[in-house]
Amino acid sequence: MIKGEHIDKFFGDLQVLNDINFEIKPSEVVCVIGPSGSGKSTLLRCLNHLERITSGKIYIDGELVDYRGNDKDLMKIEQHKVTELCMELGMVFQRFNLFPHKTALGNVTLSPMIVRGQNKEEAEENGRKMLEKVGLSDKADEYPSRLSGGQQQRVAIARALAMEPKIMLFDEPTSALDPELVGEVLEVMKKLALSGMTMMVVTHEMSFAKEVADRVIFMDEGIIVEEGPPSQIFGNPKKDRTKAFLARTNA
Amino acid sequence: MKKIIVVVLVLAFALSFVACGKGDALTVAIDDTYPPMEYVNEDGELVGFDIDMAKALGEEMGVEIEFISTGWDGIFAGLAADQYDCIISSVSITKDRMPNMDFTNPYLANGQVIMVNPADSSIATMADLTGKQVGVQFETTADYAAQKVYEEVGFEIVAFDDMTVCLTAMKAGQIDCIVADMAVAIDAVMKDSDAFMVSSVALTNEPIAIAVNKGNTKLVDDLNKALAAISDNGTLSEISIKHLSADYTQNIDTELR
Amino acid sequence: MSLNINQVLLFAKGTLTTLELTFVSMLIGTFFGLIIALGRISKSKILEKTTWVYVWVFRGTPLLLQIMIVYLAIPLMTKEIFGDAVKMSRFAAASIALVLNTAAYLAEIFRAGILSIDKGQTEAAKALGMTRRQTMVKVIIPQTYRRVIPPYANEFIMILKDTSLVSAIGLAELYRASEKLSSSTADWRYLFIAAAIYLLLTSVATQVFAYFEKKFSVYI
Repeated sequence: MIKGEHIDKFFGDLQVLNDINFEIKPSEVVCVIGPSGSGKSTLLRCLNHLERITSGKIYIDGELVDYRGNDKDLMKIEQHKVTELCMELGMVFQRFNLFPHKTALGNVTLSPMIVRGQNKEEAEENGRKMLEKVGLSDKADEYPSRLSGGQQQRVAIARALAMEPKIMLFDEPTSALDPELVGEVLEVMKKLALSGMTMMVVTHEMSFAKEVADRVIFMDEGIIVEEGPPSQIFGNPKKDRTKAFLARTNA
Repeated sequence: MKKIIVVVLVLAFALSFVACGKGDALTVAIDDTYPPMEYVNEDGELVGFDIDMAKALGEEMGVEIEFISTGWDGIFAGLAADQYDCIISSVSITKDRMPNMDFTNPYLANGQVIMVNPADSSIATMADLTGKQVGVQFETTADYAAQKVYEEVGFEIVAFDDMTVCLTAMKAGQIDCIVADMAVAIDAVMKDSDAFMVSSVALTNEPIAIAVNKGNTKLVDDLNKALAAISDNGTLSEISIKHLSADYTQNIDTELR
Repeated sequence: MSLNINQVLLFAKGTLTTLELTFVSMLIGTFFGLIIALGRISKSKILEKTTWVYVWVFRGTPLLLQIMIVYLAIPLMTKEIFGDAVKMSRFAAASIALVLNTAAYLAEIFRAGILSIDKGQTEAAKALGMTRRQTMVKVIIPQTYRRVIPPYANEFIMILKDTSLVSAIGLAELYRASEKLSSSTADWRYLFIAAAIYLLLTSVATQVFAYFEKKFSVYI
């Protein structure tokens, strides 16, 4: 579903991603863990062009969507292709990024209406279904400012799902939440995983990774140090760096 | 530190008073946008008929002349408020003004004339102004004269704060003609005969004099004495010839029309 | 003091002209100001540079000068170059100068408003598949209304008072009315009447904008 080959990313002189090669199969749930600055968020953001890789190739659903060398486009990508790409990849952000001037329902229906061209009734019907999925049917007409952090993030998930993406990307979805609110979001994500959605989740929630992930990737300083099923990574890590990291986080 | 600031402020405050103190000079208000009577030339100097005359009077009276540049609107309010001693700024004697201020004897013959573009010879009297855009300086006797008849004759008055802006506006084609003092017209034609032509006889008779705050009879007397002196000894005529190419200072018609 | 009917009419006409000039320049100025603001943040180098120059010129020169240039210098220039002077009414000249000036100031106000919106909003919109234009129109700009109202109100009030400058080209607005009455009678009290009217107008404007600010903050 997602394939990354020899991905390098530089911010100026700082190399953030170093020869990353990875693959995510359909319906797989892959969790990416690692210390801050390891490049895991950057990797995620490169997939839907929020950041551009410096060199390497990215394939989504078998199609080459980014091919660069020395920070230059080696294939021209048109605007509408990028839009299509973004529609296939749903993204949930650490800081939710809900549209504050729209209600929860408004947030969920905005993109389907203007990007997919749905009319209001269609979009709202679908939108309410999405809100129900995340357990927030009764908050449809509330503005984000009146919702708790956990509720806002769930609306964000519903918003991303409303575009019917093939893959969902989560960029530290619970890192900005109070501990008591983390659970409700993880529940929604678990349900989503069980329903067969392909997911790539950057997270610090080790118990979630242990429980839900099919595969865990451990990154440090821009490289993939180790990857494998949760039983391996958490139970029997092969690399010393992995061991050291897990010891620090007490997982 | 605080003390120093206080001292500096007090000094600045005191100095400002000294700066605006009157001293012994005769303060004369002028609207310096009015060639050839009082204006600023290309070199940035204050020049004109009234400037030369005021200086001559000062010499005659044995006093320093201090010119105070002020806009035309408010020039009479300033006189009434004693902000200066007198106004020597092409002030026409009119019946309406007499209750509000005192005038010396007139020193320059004057009347309103119409200035047009030399290519346009159709305008000779106020009645010919129908449908035109007529420029005047705001709140001058030209303005009043135009106000009296514009509705009846059917023209639009465009009143400018500055005479110089008014002249430029005509050159730019924004207005069709100007009603102004004879002296202004003579000068404009002299300097730019391609753009200006006097097309009418004097429509009014309103000789020019010095305006003084009401009740200041001593100053009026002193000024009249000095005026008589420079008129007799030819200085006044010289000034007229210098700025207006002819002598308009003798045998002035004092009947107001 | 009491005013006779002619004086009241004079003030009324002047006030009307003041309001007309203010609304014309603010409405048209807002339209162009927004376009220029978008140009300022555009990815196109040409657009960015041209709009920068525009703002630099029209913020960097006095409004009075701009009014004079439009009314006098432009016709004189066109006369010299083309033989025929471009003619325009005083109201048109004043409006043009005011619009050009207002658009420059508003452009910077709008630009600041747009840039103040969190980057995450643009990212979320992009991740949902919105184009740059859709993002700007549906997500970013609506969020700027609330932030932009205080400086916008400021500009409105400034322009309302700055319309007094058009008296320099002979337009009869409120200040002119008081000029006229006070200079012909040497009575300074008319100036206070004009001041009171300006104050009334600006106060009403302030209240109206405060209402809108509240209205747009409903989701905060």
